[in-house]
Amino acid sequence: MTLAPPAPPAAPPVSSGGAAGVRRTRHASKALPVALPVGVQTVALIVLAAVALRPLVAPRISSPAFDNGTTIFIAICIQALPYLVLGVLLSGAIAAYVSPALMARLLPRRDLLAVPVAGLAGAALPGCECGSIPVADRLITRGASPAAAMAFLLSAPAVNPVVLIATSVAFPGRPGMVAGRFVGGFATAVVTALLWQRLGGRGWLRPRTVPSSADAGGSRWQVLTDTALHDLLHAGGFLVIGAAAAAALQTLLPRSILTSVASSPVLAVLVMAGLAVVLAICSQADAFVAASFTQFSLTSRLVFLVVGPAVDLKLIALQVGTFGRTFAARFAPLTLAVAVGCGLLAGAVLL
Amino acid sequence: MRTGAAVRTRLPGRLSLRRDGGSALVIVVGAMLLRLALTSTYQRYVKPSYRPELLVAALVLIALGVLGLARSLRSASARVEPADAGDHEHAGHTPAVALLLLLPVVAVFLVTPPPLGVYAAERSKRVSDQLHPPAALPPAVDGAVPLSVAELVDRVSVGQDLTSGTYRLRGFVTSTPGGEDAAYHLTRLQIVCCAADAQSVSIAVVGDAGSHHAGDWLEVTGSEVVRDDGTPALQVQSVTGIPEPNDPYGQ
Repeated sequence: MTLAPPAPPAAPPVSSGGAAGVRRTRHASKALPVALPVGVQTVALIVLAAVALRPLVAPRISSPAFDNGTTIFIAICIQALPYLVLGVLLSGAIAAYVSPALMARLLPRRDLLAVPVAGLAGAALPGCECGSIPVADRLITRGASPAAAMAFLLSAPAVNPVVLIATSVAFPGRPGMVAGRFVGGFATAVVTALLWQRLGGRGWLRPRTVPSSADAGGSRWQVLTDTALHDLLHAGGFLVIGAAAAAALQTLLPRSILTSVASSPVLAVLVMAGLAVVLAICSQADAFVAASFTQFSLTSRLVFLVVGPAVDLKLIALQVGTFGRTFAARFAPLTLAVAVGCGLLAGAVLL
Repeated sequence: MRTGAAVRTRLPGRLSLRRDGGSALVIVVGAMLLRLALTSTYQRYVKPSYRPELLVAALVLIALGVLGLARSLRSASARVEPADAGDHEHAGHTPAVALLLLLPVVAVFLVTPPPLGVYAAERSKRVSDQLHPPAALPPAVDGAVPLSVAELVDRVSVGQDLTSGTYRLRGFVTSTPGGEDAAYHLTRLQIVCCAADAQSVSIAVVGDAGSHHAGDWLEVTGSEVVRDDGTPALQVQSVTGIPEPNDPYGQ
């Protein structure tokens, strides 16, 4: 799509596999002497090469840190994938079955009402935050108020029952942590969404066109599967980026740093918030990780639990992929600030 | 700037993902999940009870990919621009970023990273959530009660006196900080969701004259003693090397 500097020999892009009907005439790419469209043959070749080279490579690659990092990387990827798949299927279903008219009927018109309603609705979507992003995106293109969609996106990973139960198990005898997490998470979702809208957030989203899938003559089933596949490919690469960053940081971060900051209340909160972003731990499990940071105050650990589901490396990467870099660059810090604030408030009142 | 000969841009040409490439990508990701879930290898990365979710996701991915491939082949042969249900500007093409999905696939097929071990154990210690005295001990098998490291440590931490029994524990060896009486620690890693939240629990082992390397898997039978600092230790009666278990983060 972008122009490359023109070069004297003008050659059309080389494509293998006879998808002649799909090839577009791009005058700009006449300038590129080499283009590599990746088709099914290339993908198959790469995977087969990996399988074939295994006996050569596997015994040679090994260092404790590298092993640790790659294991965590794969773990985050495959743990998140089923939820991402669920999310894109839901997104496809919304694209196929929910018209903008139906959307308008389902959600209250006034944002002040729609946002909390969407926030509570998020509690119904179980599991990892990865699934909520394609759904929120699709809700917007279907005509839901973007603020409501964002509230849904932020609340789904934070306040669903599985997460709350896990928190109660990890912090036995401390119902304040469970209540604090629910209140803090819900407040974060609602406040961030409303603030975002006030700050002109719509402009942050990369320009989107509303799909006219029904007009294009595809059956609902076709719309569902096409949309799911599309969303999967758009989000998948970014999930990998987020997982890789989180795995690398987790492997390389010396935990000894933590003991030195635990005593200062301000630093403790900031460090816990930072850790929540960097560790990218799934919201069903982060309560147990938070419980292990015994040197840290309960309030700072509550901040960890409120920040984690709202903004972490995985989420930021997925947001870049789905909503654009401008959006993520502004939304993530906003969410972080609101989450820390809500966590502190909830801690002050409930703990 | 050279003339005549092909001028290369800094990247080797422009990478783009065709429709059939995208579908193939989704299929191989599904194949990766399938391979992991059909064996017990997935337990290196996520909790054992996650198998159904992985299988379902794998099948859905493969189905979506096959459907996508079929459609792109059909539209290619019909020489008609395919009707796009997506709302992206570049109809028919997905961002090259999607190619990164090949990274985990290649990692699994090429190397299959090992379960977390000594490196992770040294970096994250578990905190017990035990508040109340637990239920009765399980019955002894072959003269010793099989217990997990976590359970033994938890029971001692809530004040249960276990010094009279014999216990059989499994775990891997991690080294003890220098200057202590214990030769090594027997360690297990526990996960809740996936390997990213792994935490370690360990117990000191005393009275073992044999030599072991960090990371060796052992089955240790012995009695529980209390060390000078109040932490429990296992006084060895017998030690056997065991193969790495299929569920590395289990009991």
